[in-house]
Amino acid sequence: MDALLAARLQMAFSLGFHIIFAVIGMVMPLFMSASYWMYLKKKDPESLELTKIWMKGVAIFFAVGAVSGTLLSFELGLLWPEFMKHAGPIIGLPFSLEGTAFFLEAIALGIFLYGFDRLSPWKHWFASLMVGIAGVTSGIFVMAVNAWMNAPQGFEFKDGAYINIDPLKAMFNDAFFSQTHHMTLAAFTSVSAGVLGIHSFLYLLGRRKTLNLMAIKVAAPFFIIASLLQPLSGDFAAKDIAIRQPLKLAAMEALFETTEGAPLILGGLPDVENEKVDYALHIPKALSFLAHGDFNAPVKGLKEFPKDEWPPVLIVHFAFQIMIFCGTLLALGAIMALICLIRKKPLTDYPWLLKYFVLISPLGIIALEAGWTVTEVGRQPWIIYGFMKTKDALTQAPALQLTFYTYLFLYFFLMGVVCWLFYRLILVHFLKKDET
Amino acid sequence: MIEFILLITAVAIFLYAFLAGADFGAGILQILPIGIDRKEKTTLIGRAMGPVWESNHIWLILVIVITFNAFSTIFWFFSEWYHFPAGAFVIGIIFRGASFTFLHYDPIIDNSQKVYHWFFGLSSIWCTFWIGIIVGSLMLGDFTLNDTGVFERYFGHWLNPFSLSMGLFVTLLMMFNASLFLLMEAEKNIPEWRRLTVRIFIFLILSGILTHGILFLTNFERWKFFYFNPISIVLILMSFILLFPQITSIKKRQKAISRVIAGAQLICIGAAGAVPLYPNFVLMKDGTTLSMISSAAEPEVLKYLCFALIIGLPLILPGYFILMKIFKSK
Repeated sequence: MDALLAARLQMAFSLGFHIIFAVIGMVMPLFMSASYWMYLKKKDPESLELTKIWMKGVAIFFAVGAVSGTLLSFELGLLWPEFMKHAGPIIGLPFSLEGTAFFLEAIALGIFLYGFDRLSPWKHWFASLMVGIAGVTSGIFVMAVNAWMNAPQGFEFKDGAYINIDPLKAMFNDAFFSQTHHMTLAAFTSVSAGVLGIHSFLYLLGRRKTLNLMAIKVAAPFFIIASLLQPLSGDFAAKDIAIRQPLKLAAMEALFETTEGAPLILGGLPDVENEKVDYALHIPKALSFLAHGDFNAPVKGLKEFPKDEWPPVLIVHFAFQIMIFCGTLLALGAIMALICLIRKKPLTDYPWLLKYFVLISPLGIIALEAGWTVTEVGRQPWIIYGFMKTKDALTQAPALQLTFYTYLFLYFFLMGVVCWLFYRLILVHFLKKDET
Repeated sequence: MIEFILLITAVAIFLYAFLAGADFGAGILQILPIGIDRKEKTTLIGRAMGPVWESNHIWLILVIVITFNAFSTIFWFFSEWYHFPAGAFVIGIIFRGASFTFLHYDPIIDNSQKVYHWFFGLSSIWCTFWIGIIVGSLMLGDFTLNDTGVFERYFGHWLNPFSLSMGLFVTLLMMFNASLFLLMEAEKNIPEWRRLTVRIFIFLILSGILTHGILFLTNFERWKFFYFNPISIVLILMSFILLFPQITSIKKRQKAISRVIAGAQLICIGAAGAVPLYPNFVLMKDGTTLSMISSAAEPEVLKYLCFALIIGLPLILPGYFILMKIFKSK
């Protein structure tokens, strides 16, 4: 393994790990806030207990997320010093605002955790809402930075220097809107799918049925809305990529030749050497329509671009297919849930639907990780698209392979920490407690 | 604009050193056999440090964000030359964060708490030691920006007696800060806490003598401007004079006054080191400097950073004080 690959893998693991905590930090506080609001309206003890259980979960995820976030802020400099040297001043504004939002999130969470019986109920509820709002805002600012890496703007590039910086233009770059709404919806879809799955499972086990019913009631509307909006958002994002990063779209679809009326390729095994895709299902003209809104529009293929600028086609194509597959199953679950709700019966009256929720519960996170893989690997070999190659941003420090294995161990350790605590949380609140 | 950003950076560094420093020190005290029951120690430390743990450490993130935004050359330099010490520090942060999460959020209290405590304490020592090494190495400036050899660029400037002795000094300084913090917080075993604070203070002084002795013997020529800087001398004297009101406030158990004095002493010590260098960040062995002013970003970048800080501070500070107040009312 060379140093560049080791650094890229380390970054991939770091982001892949942190993103799980980031999306939970964005969405779970809003669920917690919703259940607390239900308690304050109806004064039912089940809502309060659910709020407190979720609060403990949020605290665990937040603490581990804060650690992995600190680690990431160091890694950006330690692994990619040249990137930070030039990009720091350009994308510093969203990072600074993200820091502020994160700080607010930490403070609001502290106020909520320790504010029971010390604040008036509605002020206390407001703190929980602030945790959620600050979390979502924080996520949007981070996305602004990533969007800039895909659509770098707000500077002039002269003789290798980045000058005449306009931080506002850099922040609200061309990819800002498409990436932020797609990612925000992905956060809501993945977390609500996970929550629905866990509480459906516990409900089906016959544990704390009222409490689990309450949890399903809170998570289901978020899941239905986000999962149904996500395909529309994805379509918007794909059209945007077709214009801004046609090479990435070609890799996502493993489209080698520029084609008028290009087919949508489902599945398949890209053979990069022979420039073809085996065992794929082709939907005629669908890609042209999805990318440009015209069945006969030309879609640029990989061969339009120099081969040394191609991203790893196999990884990007697979990741994209996985994301679409998971997204489709999640949207299907949302449609079924919506139909059940229209019949005005609680979702728990449909055990088959609860079983479906259990089955699809990890798919949101899988889709999220796959989507990030498409975004990040699809931009390679560039770290700043069109301006700085990833290899040119790399540190000269030795033994990056050793660092990678060390961090890999640390991430598995942290994941073990979370799983262990989560298991003990469920054990105490659900598995060892009988219905009262 | 640049002065405002530098001021905020300095305040954030001070708050990190003071608040997170006390937190690090408390982590170390937690595992030291200091003649106080472990359960009592843990309860006291939890009460004093627990709720502001995450927000304490966000001061560090603020410093990082300001540095790569406004002084990206310095951030680049730090990332490259301190690749290994900073990486080692971060590993400590991970273990510390994980054990903190266990300590505070594990719903089951059993024997595993002992393991969490040890992890928390050892990672606290590890972190403070590396902070000290980095501070010592920056003070020494035993490098140049033209270093290309692996050893010179990544190891030589911190792998030396002075930086290592600074690691010990900073560890003891943070322990002293924590013991003072906890002494004023304690309701039981006050004589034991007092004895502990005095003992740590004696070790701190000895370690300070050792550090200066090494500097005197190895790098006096380059550092004599520091010893003969009148402002630095006054600041060091002030930090020493402040010991007397500090002792009085401890005797009278005036918690707030004691903390203000401790903060003032820390500011004096930090400023004594920074003032002779200002506006430079480090003085390198070839006589060149890395300056905050000359490495600052374009005015447009600084303007927006100021804007972000001005928006952020009125949101953050009141919230931070509300959090402290809620917690103290426990």
